[in-house]
Amino acid sequence: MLEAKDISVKVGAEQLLDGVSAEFAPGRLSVILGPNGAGKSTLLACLSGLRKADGGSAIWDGADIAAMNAKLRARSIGLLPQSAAVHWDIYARDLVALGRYPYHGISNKDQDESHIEAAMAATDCTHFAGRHMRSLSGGERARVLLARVLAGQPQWLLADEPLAGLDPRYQMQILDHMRKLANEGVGVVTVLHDLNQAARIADHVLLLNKGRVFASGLPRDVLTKTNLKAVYDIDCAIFDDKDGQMAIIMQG
Amino acid sequence: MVPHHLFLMAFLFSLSAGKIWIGPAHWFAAGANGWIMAELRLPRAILGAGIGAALGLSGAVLQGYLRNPLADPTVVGVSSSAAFGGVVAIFLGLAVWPYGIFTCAMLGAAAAVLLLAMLAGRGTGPLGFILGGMVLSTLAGSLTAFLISIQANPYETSEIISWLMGAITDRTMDDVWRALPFILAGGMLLLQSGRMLDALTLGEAGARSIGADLNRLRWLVIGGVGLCVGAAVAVSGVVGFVGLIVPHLMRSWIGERPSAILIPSAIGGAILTLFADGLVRLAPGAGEIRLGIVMAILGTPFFLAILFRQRSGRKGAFGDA
Repeated sequence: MLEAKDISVKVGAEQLLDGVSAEFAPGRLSVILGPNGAGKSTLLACLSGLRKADGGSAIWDGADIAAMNAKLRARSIGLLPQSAAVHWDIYARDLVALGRYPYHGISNKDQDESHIEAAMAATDCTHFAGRHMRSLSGGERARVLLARVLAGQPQWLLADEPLAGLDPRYQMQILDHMRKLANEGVGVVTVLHDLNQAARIADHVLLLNKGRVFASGLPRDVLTKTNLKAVYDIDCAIFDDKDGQMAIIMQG
Repeated sequence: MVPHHLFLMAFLFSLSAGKIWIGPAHWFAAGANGWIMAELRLPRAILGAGIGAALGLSGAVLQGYLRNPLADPTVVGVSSSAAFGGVVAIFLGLAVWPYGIFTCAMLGAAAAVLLLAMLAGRGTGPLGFILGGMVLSTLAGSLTAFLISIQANPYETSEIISWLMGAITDRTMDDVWRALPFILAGGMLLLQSGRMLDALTLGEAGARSIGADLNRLRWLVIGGVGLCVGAAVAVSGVVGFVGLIVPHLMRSWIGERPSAILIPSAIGGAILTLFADGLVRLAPGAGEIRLGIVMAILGTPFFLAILFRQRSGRKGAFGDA
């Protein structure tokens, strides 16, 4: 279990998170939602151990994540950061190989190769392994970045807005990969902005507002007209389509 | 032709080239040729290789660390601080002491490294590092100009300006033994940074998320560049462009993975410096052109050509794919 226990983060006079508590289970796809500035990325940074909370803590299996050894943490928790920038035009395969970084010294070359190949196959990017990152489309790049995380065989995948800049087809592909991972037992926690995608894919939704937990639970229980009006200040219609899939239509 | 063949050619060229061309058959001959070889050419070639390797490697590491292909050792202020130390030695008349300029230049580099570490602070990352370096570079440059402006003795003014232009003329094996241990120690530190530089390809958050220790990386970079560039400047003055151009060249040949270009940049820097230092000796007339001047004359059009090619091609100057 990955837990946020009464986490507070303050930067200057700005309270980014104010006593946030939440639990994320392995094998479940959890989506963090909320308006800009709600504290979603900050919470993810705390859960991944990249940011130490001013109050409270992020706990994984009873251990304080911020105090864990960096490589041990990296082997357990894979983070897909918000920025998709890759600072040098390296080969896609070399980028995926960075996922094996925390295993340096404890894994042999054959094992590394095998996990890199498997991660690239799982995200369907084996065929452009030898291409430079700059030559890839947004969707291809997103898959390579996801493969990089998977190559590290994390027990947890934390993704910060992984759909940013992707067209609907690639958004579906990435979310379907996440769904598959969750079904295989990986704990997936992702920040999203798309309410319909969240409703479609999530097992559990955490709705943040102004640094606090506004609601938490099943998508159908959290994504209600009242909650969305209170948090986003939007009016919307919510209904089930012919397949029984929840759909949210925003109204003016 | 593989790099080590090219390096061997450059080294042999550096040994042979000069006002008197001495072919390999006469290297070990008794008399003037043998003396020139043992006392002048050999230490000069070793220093050329060492300085070039130090500058090429430092440039490759700094470009990887700052994720900026326009970074070089002058950006972080170590070159100018070491140069200021050397100028202080000349200004105070310590240049007559064999270790005078070297010691003062290394102290200048050490002061730069310490100030850089303080200015960059804990966890401020490459931005703090580059801002600190710019402050240092400006300060050291201003202080050097100040010393030149108040120097009353025109001979010493000329000596300072000449030293600042960079050269490895008339260096001896003593200079080699002074500089080489620092260059080797710095090189060992810098070569440890490769995997962490690769990790930084993902940005700072990405690098930390895969377990890269960016604090350790910062200390390796500061310590390694301080030792390498400090020793290079201390023994030769300021030789520019090697740290900028060579990693560029290696990147276009080998690829952009930061760790892959470290050793090639060291070898490439050595080759470029050896060839350039050989050429300065072949200039007509009694004297030699300063190595720093030749490097700038060769380097500027070369660098502009790279930039124009990049602008007209697929790639931009910055790798923010």
